[in-house]
Parts: sequence; C-alpha cells; structure tokens
Amino acid sequence: MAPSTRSPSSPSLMAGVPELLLLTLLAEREMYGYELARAVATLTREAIAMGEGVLYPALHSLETRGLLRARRRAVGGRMRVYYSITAKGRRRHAALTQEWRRIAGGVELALAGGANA
Amino acid sequence: MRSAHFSALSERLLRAGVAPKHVRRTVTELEAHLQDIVTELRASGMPATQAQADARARLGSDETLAASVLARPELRSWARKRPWAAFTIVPIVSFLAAMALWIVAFIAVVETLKPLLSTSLLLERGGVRSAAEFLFGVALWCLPVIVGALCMWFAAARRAGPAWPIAGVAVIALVGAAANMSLSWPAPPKIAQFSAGIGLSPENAAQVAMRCSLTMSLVLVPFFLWRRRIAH
Repeated sequence: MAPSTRSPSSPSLMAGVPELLLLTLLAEREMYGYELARAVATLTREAIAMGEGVLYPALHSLETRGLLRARRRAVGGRMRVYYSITAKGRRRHAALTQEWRRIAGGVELALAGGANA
Repeated sequence: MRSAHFSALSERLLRAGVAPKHVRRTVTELEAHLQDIVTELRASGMPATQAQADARARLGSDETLAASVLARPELRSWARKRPWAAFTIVPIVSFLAAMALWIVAFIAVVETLKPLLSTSLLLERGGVRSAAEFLFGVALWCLPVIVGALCMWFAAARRAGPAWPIAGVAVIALVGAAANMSLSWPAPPKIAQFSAGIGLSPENAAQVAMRCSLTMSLVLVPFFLWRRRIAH
C-alpha cells in the first residue's frame, strides 16, 4: 500500500493477504476504501506494496461472497461506500487468521532452519 | 459510468464482461479515493499537478487495476457467462409474462366496469369496442418492441456481442407477430368473449412477416447506430 517508490510485493506470495488484512481491519470497525488503504499502510508499516486501487475488487469480491456488507453514506459532500464485516466474515476471518499463523510459523521455522544449516 | 480519470478502464472492464454494477462502483470509489489522496498530498504542500499525478500512481496503473478486477470471476456479469439464457430465454419469458399480465389487467378492468359496460348506451356508441381494439393493438405492436429494446439495452450496457441479443429479438419479434387477441361483444343477454393466442398459418404468414420485420427494424437499427458510435 506504499507509494510507487517501493517495488511491488510478489503476487504469488500475496495470494489471500488482501482478504486477511481487509477482514482484520473491518473486524474492528466500519471503514471506506481510502481509510482502509491508509490503515493497511500504517498497520504493515508500508511493508506491503500494491496499488491502493486494487483494494476495491477485493472488497467487492468479499461483499459478493457475503463476508462484508456495504452501505453508501454522504460525508462532507462526498458519497462514500462504507464496508462492515458480517457474521460469516468473522468466521472466515478466524479461520484465515489461524491458517495464516500456521503457514507463517512453518515458513519461519524453515527459514530459521535454512539459516542454521 | 462517465469518469474523468477512469473512462478507459471502465470501458475495458465492460468489454471484458465485468458486471456493470461492479464497474460503476469500482469507478465511483476510485474517483473518490483519488480525490482523497489529492487532498492529502495538497495538504502536505504538493503542487496540484504533481498531487494529481502521484495520486493516480498510488492507485495503480489501468493495467494493474483491470487485472485485479478480471482476476475475480465472481465480478463477471452472469449475462456474459450465459448469454444464451440472458438474451433468449429471459426476454421470451419476460415477453410472455408481460402479455399475460396485460391480459389479466384487461380482464380485471372489464370485470370491474361490468355494470357500466352492460348498458346499451356504451355499446351503441361503440366506445368500449374501440377502446379494447386500441389496447389490443398497443399490446400486440408495442410489447414486442419494448421487450426487444430492453433486451438490446441490456446487451449494450454489458458490451455483449450482437449474435445472442439479435437471436433473442428475432424470437420475440416472431412470437409477438404471431400473437393475436380478439373480443366478440354481442348485445346482451349474450356474454362477451375474449380470446388470445399465438398462431402461425399460411393465411397470416405475410402479416406475421411484416410485423416481425417492423419490430426487428425498430429495435435493431438504433442498436447498430449506437454500436457504430461507440466503435468510433
């Protein structure tokens, strides 16, 4: 989510990451796209570089699958689409978090093993 | 779906089969996001032109944005996934449903006005008969054109290829041209009789062909003119 000076994150390693990050943020509170982009950048300390615009297809996809709901709200003369997580989204978030920790833990172990070998 | 910055992206997504509602939302949200970034950059002292360029870069190139949408099949239009159903079965069912609704509405109105209609005064003037014939004409001539035009509009909004929509309009035009309605309204105490059906015979073939051609022309000519304008 960082500015264009950073090289983009590897797409093959990024599969599933936007979904997990968006569900994590929206599990806390309702947000709109720009807010989410800023929050992802802050939360990951700009470690993940991708166009901020690619958030929207991910959000729409999550909404289509019933994991998020969207509502339009006029704020300061601008129409914003706010996203919030559904009960199904919370269950998916819990499952993804667990899976991510298992995979990340495994990769960490492998990397540490490789470094020690 | 007009956008100052994303009209090319919008057209590209529609042509690739993304559902128009997702394209509209994506473009609206990207526009708002772009303005938010520009506001943020301007607040930090960046000149307007530079802020616009940086904001656009932060959102991602059209290529990246299009790829991120197209990678999600769930955002594709169902009409582009199953054009045979969207442009033939749905319009035909809609047309038949519209005809049925029209007939039900007509019978309901007649039943409601029965006490008035049975008076010889109205019958003598022939007003009721003329009104009924006018309404039958409207249903038989206009409904196929309206449903056909809706079918083509639906196809145009999704940038669908012309083959299936034309096939759908041809079937609607044929069924509409072969449809008929009639009312026999003898003097009381005999009761009025309404009949409706779809039929094709050597006797009415010429009339059916003429009505069918007229419906197709009224629907397809504007569609092809629109396609030519878009292509240019």
